[in-house]
Amino acid sequence: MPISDNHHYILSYYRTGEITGALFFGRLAKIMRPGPIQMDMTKHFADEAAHAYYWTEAIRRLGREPLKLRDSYQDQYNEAIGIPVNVMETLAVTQVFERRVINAYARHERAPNLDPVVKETITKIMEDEKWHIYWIKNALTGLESEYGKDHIEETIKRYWLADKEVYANTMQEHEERIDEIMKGKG
Amino acid sequence: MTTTAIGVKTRIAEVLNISADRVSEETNLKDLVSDSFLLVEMAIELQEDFQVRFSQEDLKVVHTVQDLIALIEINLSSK
Ligand SMILES: [Fe+2]
Ligand SMILES: [Fe+2]
Repeated sequence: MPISDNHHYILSYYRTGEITGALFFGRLAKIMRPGPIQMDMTKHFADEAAHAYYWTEAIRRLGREPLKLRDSYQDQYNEAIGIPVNVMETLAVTQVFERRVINAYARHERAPNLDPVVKETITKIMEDEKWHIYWIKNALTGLESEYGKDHIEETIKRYWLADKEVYANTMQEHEERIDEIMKGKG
Repeated sequence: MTTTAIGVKTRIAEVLNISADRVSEETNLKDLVSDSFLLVEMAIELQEDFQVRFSQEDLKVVHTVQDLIALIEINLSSK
């Protein structure tokens, strides 16, 4: 059975988000000095690129083509928080972004009557996403002596608040579609 | 011109891949970078080169190359 328009839109949005993530982390990986953070950031970037491929493939297996979407959330998010200017700030932005993603996938995974292709794709991606949260948390802990624990926490909190505000402003349509999916009307 | 000033200008030119004579103290940083990510790159490179640290907050008042040099010099002198 081909997927509904709601699912088509949401899965295409996931694909776009994964591409945005891959491009952002790829650029970070490119400018970082050699070391463990560079190593993990490179793996992270490769994972997000793979996720974009998984969604592209999943959408096609479900009988549709990915929609070309603008990522207005990401556009406005960058505007709202400004550009990060040190390694700690880039990791803090990344952590907020990753938490948003993992929450979205975890919620979607609980939808009733979920197509096996969607379920399989989310499960596969979630394995990587858990590692993303884990390595960033560790890296930020490792930066505490340099930047101060309180300062790091304040930075994350500031980004998290900006994220919530931007999400509320840009994702109304998205939320309505997800609500339908969560009611099993996918 | 201080050695820091010379160092900062040289590094900016290198990161942005432009000729050093395009970078003067009065140059507005926004005129040099075509996309905001290059600013991230430049900021990270300069912090590593000069062993200083600045935040998003510090950069809010930085507009010109001279502002950036001043920020780095203040950071260095408070070490
Ligand atoms: Fe991902
Ligand atoms: Fe991720």
